Amino acid sequence: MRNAASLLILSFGLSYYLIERIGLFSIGPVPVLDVLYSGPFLSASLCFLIIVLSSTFRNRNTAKISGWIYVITVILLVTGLWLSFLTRFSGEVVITEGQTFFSGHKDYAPETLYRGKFATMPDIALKLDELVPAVSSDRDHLEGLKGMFSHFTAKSEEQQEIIITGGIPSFLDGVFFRIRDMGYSPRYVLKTDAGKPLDSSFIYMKLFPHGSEDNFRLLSPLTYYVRYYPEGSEDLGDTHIALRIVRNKDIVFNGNITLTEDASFENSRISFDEVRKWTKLSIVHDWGVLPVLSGIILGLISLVIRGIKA
Amino acid sequence: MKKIIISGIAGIILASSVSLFSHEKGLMNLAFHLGMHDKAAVEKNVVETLNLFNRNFATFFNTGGNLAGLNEFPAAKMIKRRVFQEISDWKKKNQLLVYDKDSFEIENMQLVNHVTAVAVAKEVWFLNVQEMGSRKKLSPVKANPIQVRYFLKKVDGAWRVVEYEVFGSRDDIPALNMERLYL
Repeated sequence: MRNAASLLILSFGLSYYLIERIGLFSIGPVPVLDVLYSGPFLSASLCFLIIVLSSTFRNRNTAKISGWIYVITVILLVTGLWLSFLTRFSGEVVITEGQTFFSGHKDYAPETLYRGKFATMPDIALKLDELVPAVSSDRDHLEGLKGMFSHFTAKSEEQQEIIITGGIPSFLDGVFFRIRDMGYSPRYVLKTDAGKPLDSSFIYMKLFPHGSEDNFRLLSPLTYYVRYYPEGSEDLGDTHIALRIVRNKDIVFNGNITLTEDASFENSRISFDEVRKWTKLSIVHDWGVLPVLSGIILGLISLVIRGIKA
Repeated sequence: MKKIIISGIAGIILASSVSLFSHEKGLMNLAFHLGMHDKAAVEKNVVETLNLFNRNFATFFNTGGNLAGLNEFPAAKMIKRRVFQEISDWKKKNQLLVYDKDSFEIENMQLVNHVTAVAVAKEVWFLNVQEMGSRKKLSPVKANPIQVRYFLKKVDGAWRVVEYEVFGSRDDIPALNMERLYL
């Protein structure tokens, strides 16, 4: 009876995870964390743990070592899941070369932010000094990403140089850091017709791979569409920006400009004086990671032992 | 063995039921994924929405921001804001920009899910600046051939434009980035 119940819950958990990840009944696939931390999945994990524990208690005198390993594995995995649900802090933030990130700030992308009921976050400050992308030979996709950061802590005034990559996460002060994706942040300078600067700022844009288009708006009804060609394009050899300025449905400028060159439109001018690279820095502080990893390792060891015995 | 099979199947049925009832319009989503939706009817609705959008869009400009029709304008707040912001800029100069539609042709349409659609249209508008009261032409009539990529979302049973991108008539339109569906 207990075997049937535990199998039902296992089948439920696995099916529920797959259905949600495929997005069979939702508009699109549900993110992994949303599935794992959902009511049905957490409840199922708890029921499974209770069944396994009660079954072990009944058979405690006859249980073999492999049985105990199985029970410990389940305890570690379920405890890890619940610890993670309650204590995890994770989020992603866009950071441009030269920019400093503070763990306590509020600029995390809302769709990536998760804060468990008992989540805490150590004070960490990182400055992205340089981003080095490894680009495929056709220049169309990223093959690797390496970010050189300066690390500041509240404990000491010392500054430490660290490297965070797009591969295995870096562990720092109890926090996992990883970077992914890359783009360009051009700095626009909006000027009067006479050339007097009115406004200037870096704008983070998805301009990679080269030729990708993104747009931004300031306070006026104008939309600025930008494509960036750091190595030139088929038409133009030099580094340039393809710029299109549109006021509602009226195109008021459509052409190529080099860096620092002014584009004139409607009694104004705009130029892009500098371009830096940005990446997405992912931050995870989660007390559940250790039990889950231990559970997975123990589970694998248990499988290997069973395999050898068989 | 029989018990194992029954338990496994029961788990799958239970998971499907829980997932179905935990999503709003779960059955409609499933029908869309299985291709069991009325694509022609949806496309017809989208075309009607875009026609209404452009009719209202031009009327607002041509009347100097007459608010009649604002409630039926199938557009997100940010679009309405941009339209009326520009109209206000023209009004400050005692002018209005007249949009006269010459042609509107949908090139392609993509239904991303049952509440999201993307349509690309080729449009030609004639634009000219006029004096507010007298309607005296202050600029030559300018032909404005453009391509527009509209992003639409169905809210409370009605489609509306949540964003649009404007390209020159000969510009290549970049591939659709699903991350940037303005939703």
